[in-house]
Amino acid sequence: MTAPTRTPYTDAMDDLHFSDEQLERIVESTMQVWENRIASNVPDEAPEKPSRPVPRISRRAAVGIGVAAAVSAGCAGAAIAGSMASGVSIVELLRYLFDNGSPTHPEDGGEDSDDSDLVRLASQLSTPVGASATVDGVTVTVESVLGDRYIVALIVSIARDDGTPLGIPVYPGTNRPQLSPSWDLYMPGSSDGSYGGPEYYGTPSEEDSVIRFVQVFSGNAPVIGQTCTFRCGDIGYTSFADGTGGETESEPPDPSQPGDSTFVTVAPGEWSIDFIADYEDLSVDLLPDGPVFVEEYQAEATLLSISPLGISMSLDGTDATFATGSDWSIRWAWDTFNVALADGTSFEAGSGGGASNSPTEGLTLYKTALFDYVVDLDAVVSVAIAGVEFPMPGQ
Amino acid sequence: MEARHEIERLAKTYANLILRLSYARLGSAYDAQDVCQTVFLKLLAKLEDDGARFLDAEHEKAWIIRATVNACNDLQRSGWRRKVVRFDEHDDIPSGEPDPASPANGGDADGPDAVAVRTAVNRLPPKYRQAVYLHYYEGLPIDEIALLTGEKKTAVAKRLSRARAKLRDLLEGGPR
Repeated sequence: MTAPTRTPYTDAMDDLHFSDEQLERIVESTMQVWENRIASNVPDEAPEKPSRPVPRISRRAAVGIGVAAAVSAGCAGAAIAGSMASGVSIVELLRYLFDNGSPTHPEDGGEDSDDSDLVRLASQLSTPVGASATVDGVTVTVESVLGDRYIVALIVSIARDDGTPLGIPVYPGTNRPQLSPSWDLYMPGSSDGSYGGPEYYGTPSEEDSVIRFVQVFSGNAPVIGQTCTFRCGDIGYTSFADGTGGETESEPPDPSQPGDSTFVTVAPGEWSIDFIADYEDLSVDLLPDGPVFVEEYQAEATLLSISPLGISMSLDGTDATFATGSDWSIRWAWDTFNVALADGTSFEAGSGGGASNSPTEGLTLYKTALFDYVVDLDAVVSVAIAGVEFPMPGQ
Repeated sequence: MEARHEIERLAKTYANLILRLSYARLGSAYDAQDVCQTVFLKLLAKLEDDGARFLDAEHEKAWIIRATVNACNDLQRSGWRRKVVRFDEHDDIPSGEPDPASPANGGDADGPDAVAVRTAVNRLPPKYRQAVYLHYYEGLPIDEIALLTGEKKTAVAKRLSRARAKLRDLLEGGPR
């Protein structure tokens, strides 16, 4: 390796660097995860459910579903597990829904009388949907939905009605269908949609006629009771001609270079499925008196909400310079929420986030931190970010 | 192995490399800290499991680059990034205006040329950006990039060539 010639490009990349504080944060968070891993002898891979061999979830999936809570995954999990009543991880909850569907409530005539924490939480936070749309013999179904005021996780299936294979290849050596997602969720009022990865899959074989997955979305407008629309375009996968294994994300086929990659459609069409996000609203508004100015961001927090599933925050920045710094995305992405608990402990959650831009009014930013474990809000005292503490109402 | 000491060494030595490579590959720095942690934990586990040591610093650096590329691939495949609107897509920094990330304003002086080049590079497809970074910043030859990224030499060479052509177009006909 030789030292590169200095160019505007190298200068630009030099400008991208961690601050000492950020490096310290990396060391601390890595150390915490490492110590937790050693202490609990946690393997890299999350344990599989032995009774259900088909749906799987990987460690990466758990982190992915955590909507970038990966940095704090280890410590947050440990802190929550020790002090929260449920001890149910979000991944377990999603896996339960994936395996069993949303519980039917006895009061609704259902038969689920299991009162375990897992089923109770699934019952509170999710609802069966069962809405589908069919185009040319391919049916897309939203099976059930779980969420809070701003987070929506869908269990979705795609099936060929005649039982013939969908024809989606599987990544070599994995259980991940090479499905190239072409869907989104319309959440009324949200300035933009974000979603986590499809982390659970159905039978991973090219011969399968059904693929199932979980998809996490988040928005910045209240969604409970609202009609959302799951929209799916042509179903297919991206095939790469250069033998690299086909990375389906962020590298759209380039029409000027037809040899590079090709989207292979296995089921053309447009599917649109309406459903109502009809589950209990357990979210708590941490801005009961309206927006709060956050000095560090020079922006106004217009939304801050915590639920047993996670934290959602939205910022409005009106300063024109606010939108121009590349460092800004790093700072916002990495600033975590500190959740203080009644027993004196705390945990961090939530690097990462989405943004939408208003050219005339600056930026509207929002981020969602999905917890590792379902949190008992009675045990939460406050949430802090960027040096500002937001107490739970009534504290 | 004293874990903290090792993590501190890794962070000091490689964190910025991982940040820049993640940025090049993923198009934003959102996930760079996650990638750092993933890579460091993998290396710690490797050292813990088999006590493996690298032949030299270059060997270790190559391992870090390979692990970073893999971690970025995992992230891209996770799908989380798909609908996240990247901040840099809105980084319409007017030429000649100071970059708030620069040291006087929090970072290094960042001339308009660097800004224009960075903006242009960000418009390239991810694998092009990755190749550009590894070749033009890390100074790796094409065969080594191919080795580290698990790609064919011809594919890497092709991307670098196309990247150069696209950058030429973008910079000559671009906003600057």
